Amino acid sequence: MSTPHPTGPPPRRVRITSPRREARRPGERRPPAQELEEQTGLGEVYLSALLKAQLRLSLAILLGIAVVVLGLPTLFVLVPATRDIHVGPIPLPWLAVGVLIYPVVFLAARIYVYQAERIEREFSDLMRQR
Amino acid sequence: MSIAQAGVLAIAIVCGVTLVAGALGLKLSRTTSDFYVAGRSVSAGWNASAIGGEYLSAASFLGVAGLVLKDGADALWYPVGFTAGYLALVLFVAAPLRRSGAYTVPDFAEARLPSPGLRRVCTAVVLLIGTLYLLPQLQGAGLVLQTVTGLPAWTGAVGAAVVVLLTVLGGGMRSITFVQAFQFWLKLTALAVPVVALLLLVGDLQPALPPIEAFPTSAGPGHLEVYRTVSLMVALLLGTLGLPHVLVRFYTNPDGVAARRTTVIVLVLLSVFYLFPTAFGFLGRAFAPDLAASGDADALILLLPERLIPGPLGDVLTAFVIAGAFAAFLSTSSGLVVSLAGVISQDLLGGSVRGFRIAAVLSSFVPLVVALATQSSGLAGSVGLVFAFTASTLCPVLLLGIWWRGLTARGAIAGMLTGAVLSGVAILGGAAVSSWLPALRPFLEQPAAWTVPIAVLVTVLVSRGDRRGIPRGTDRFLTRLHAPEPAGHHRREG
Repeated sequence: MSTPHPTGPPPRRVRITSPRREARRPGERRPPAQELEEQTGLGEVYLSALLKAQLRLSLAILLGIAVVVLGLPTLFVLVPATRDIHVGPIPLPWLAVGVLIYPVVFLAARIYVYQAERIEREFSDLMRQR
Repeated sequence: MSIAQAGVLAIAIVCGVTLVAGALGLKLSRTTSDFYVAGRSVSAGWNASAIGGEYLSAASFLGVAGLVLKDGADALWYPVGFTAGYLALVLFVAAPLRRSGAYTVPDFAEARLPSPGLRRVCTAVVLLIGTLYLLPQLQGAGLVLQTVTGLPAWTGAVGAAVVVLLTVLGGGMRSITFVQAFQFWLKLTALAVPVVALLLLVGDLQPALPPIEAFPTSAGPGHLEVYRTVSLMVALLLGTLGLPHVLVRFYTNPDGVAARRTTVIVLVLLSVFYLFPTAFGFLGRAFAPDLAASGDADALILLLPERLIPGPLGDVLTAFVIAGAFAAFLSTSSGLVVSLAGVISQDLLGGSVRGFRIAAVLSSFVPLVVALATQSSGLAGSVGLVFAFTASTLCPVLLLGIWWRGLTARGAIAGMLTGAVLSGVAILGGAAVSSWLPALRPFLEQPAAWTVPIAVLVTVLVSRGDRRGIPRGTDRFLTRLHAPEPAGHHRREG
């Protein structure tokens, strides 16, 4: 390690050359939550990692729903036989958009909430590290 | 008892209950120093019912069935979009907005980017959206009263505006989660009971049209116009994010995690609700196709029970539907008027109680005058255009404000004005332009698919070019939006 890094055990000479009054003692590590609170460069890294993870999850779910929503009409166009399936008097395409889409949307939301809470739990665990 | 008498009785009961609840709410909120403290102890289920109660408007209650009757399967995308808007809300906005502590979009914008100019533009856009959203509610009230009693349409609009104003002045219905939650279940029952009764009884009746004509596969989703559908979905999904009366409800969740869970329950409630207007539309296509031609499509759910089941049972079912329709106007309208009056009194009248009352009068009567001066062109359709406008203006600011460090006040203002001008021109001038350039018609009738990306692009480019750079404290604010609340701290300083 050529540069001092807050998460690794720093070499002894860091203490002597550091101009900061609150310079770390050997073996002491700063909690990540403090980095975040003090808006250090490292705090920014933690924040952007959290933002990216959450945004990636949201966009993935949105993409999945877009595929279903656009895929249904495409299916009915490409496979005309699906249009002739009837449930009672109602043709399948009407039923798919009028009824069957809703459970899919709910499922997407449910998966999202579960995963988003998992990301936040991992973030909280990271913040509590010492 | 005639159908008109039953209908007027139903309207009177709903209005009476709403007024009494508003008055009780005044007492309740006086005994609590801060009614939002009480609100935060509300469970996710009640909260979700309240959001549903405030959200389901005339467009959902009457408009969706009317649109299914008129346009067939293409109309089925409207309720899908109205519901999936809450998916977009949970994916991008619910938890961060709750953690921001902001009640309204102007509050959020000001907390995110300290700029009085941005706040003023946001306020103007919110007032415009609220007014536009109130129009179909008041016109819907006029339609119901006219259909039921034969009185001129303006009486219903004026009556609804007066009851809404009295409720808001008498304590503000928004303050009582319970009343809005009750309105949701009232609306659901008011549609579900007639639908179930009709489905049980129509088995013996001869449909006016055979199924193959009522539900033509050629007019089904298999032949949809892709651009229109995509653009409509963009408008409904993103427009939901900016609705002033919906956002404020998220504040009664205890924290960001609860805000997400509440939103998922709202999704379930809406999914169940929209089955019934859809079923009404299907029944209408089979048994009353003539209503589509005569321009009475929005009155379908009011006319169908009596037409299929003449006699006292039909009258009772109609009274049910009328009660639900009025609940829909009253709950959405009072939510909107409270939001509008809050914004006006805070930004223009100094935030006093007297200021709020003056603002409430303004925010019910200005839309009323506009509603009386203009003609309704299909309830669900006009609400769809309001969603397109909201998606093009408030949504870029909200989304980029929550997810992009680089947003600046100048960028936000530029994007919002661009979106407002583009979608405004498309909505207002669309008919004129497309009469001599028919090829542009779909792009002007459903503008969201191009106005939203352009507004976002302008916001990003102007923010990038802003020499003042991103404001200090951006990281701190974004941390508050995205980092989970520390255990034991239910809410950080708002």
